[in-house]
Amino acid sequence: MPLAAAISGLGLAGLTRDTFVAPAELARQAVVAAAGDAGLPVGAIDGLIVCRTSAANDAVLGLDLQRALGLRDLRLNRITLCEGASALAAIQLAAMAVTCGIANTVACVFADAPLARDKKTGAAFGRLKTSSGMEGLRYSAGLFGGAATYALSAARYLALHALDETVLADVAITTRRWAELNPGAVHRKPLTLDAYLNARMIAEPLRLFDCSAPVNGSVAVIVTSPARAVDGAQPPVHILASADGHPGVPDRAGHDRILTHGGAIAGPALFEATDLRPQDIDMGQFYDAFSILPLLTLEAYGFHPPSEGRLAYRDGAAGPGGSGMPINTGGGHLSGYYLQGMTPVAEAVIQARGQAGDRQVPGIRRILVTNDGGRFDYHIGMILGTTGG
Amino acid sequence: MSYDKLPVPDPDLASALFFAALDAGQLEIQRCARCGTPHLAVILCDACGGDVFLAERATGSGIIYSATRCHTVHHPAFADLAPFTGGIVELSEGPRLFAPLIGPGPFAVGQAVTAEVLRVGDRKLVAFRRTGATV
Repeated sequence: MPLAAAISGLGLAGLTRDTFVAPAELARQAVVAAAGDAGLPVGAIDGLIVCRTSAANDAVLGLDLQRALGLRDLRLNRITLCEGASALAAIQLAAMAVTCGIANTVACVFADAPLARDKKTGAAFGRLKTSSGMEGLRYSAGLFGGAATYALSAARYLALHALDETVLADVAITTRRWAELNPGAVHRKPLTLDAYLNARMIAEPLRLFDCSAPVNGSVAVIVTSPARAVDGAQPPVHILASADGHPGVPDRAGHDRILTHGGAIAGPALFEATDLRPQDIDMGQFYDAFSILPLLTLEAYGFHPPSEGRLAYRDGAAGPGGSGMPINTGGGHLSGYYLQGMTPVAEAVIQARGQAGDRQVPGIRRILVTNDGGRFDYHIGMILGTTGG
Repeated sequence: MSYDKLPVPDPDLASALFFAALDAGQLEIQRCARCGTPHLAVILCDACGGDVFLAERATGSGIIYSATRCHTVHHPAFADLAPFTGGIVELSEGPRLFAPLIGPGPFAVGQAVTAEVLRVGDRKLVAFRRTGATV
């Protein structure tokens, strides 16, 4: 059964590096903003899906968001957990619920506040997630945080394809050019190759600007039926298709776990469901917590053959005024802001509506949005469109 | 350099035999009795569904599947080691595991390495050194 759902509201809260507000309060503010954006009273929400970073627990952000919002008689109230893919997991579930008539107006919200008053970013993201089993050995090896494990993917990718770090630099620099045009982006100063190379090394080959820009903030969207969305306060953004891809690749010779991207599973499903091909996609809003990710996404989805994802960025092709498909037009996670899976969703909605100001790309009809979680363990892709399927 | 404060994971159900052998100073793999697929920690063989495994002493030789030199410290055990290198080693028998890469580098993808069991308190940990590098 095809999805029949659309995003009718978008709400942002926080998106700051200076102020700490508790994630539950940021989430409440974002849901209120999303309802307002959709032209709805908060009480019109009959479904709520919360997603959060894997570092958080119920005390940080949980199902009691319902009470904070004063919502009564919800027909859906869930937490979705899929690491970095949680945002699209939530929106996909909302779209299914709306399609099946389980709920009519579902708010999906992600919130995080990693920059606590006295904590450095590394303290927030570099924590020990599990101390047991073979996965726990990553900490024995000193591989704390996403940067270290994605560095392993980047190092292997560059070595296998005999490429150098300028491939990653192209992603970071091109993405920064979009951020220069986005008043809401964290890093807006032009990034030269020298500045990229001279920034501090985090985990080789990843330098500072190969890693995302954390903020405290929240993004919420309202998912409803296409008919309700068309009658809403904003141009509807249709959910044309959504698909998961979780490779589960074994850790042994003959398999390539750290370079196997779930887009190779989700992509064919998305393109079949929509009768589209990669060349029909007008824009990519890809999960780019680390610069290696968009390259692997482009290759997994068939935009480029293996090792050639870099061609999407050559000569700024994916950047403002570039010759290729625009990618991460708000500055992505790298230069924009890191609110995990919701960052690409928010920018996709803004672009689809034609509300992106100086960075607006004209003539956008179909946008591929991707979310990645774990060590390429969890992936969800979604195609959004300005018109229904 | 001192490695005696490195975090060592507790065994879980799948890895109980691996860590028990390692704590006894042996690097062991678990080979599926039905199809021969090599594993390190396993409950069910993903290749054939088999659930009987034969412990086999690993040669300790392998290659670097990937490695990264880390410049940020998130745990006090690494404070005196940074920059230090961690990676994933593919044993010559096939399975891969995370491990510290110690001794002289550089550590590049495909580089041959040899296992070295480190004592960490009352536990043991397997690290790897470039094959041929002097201790």
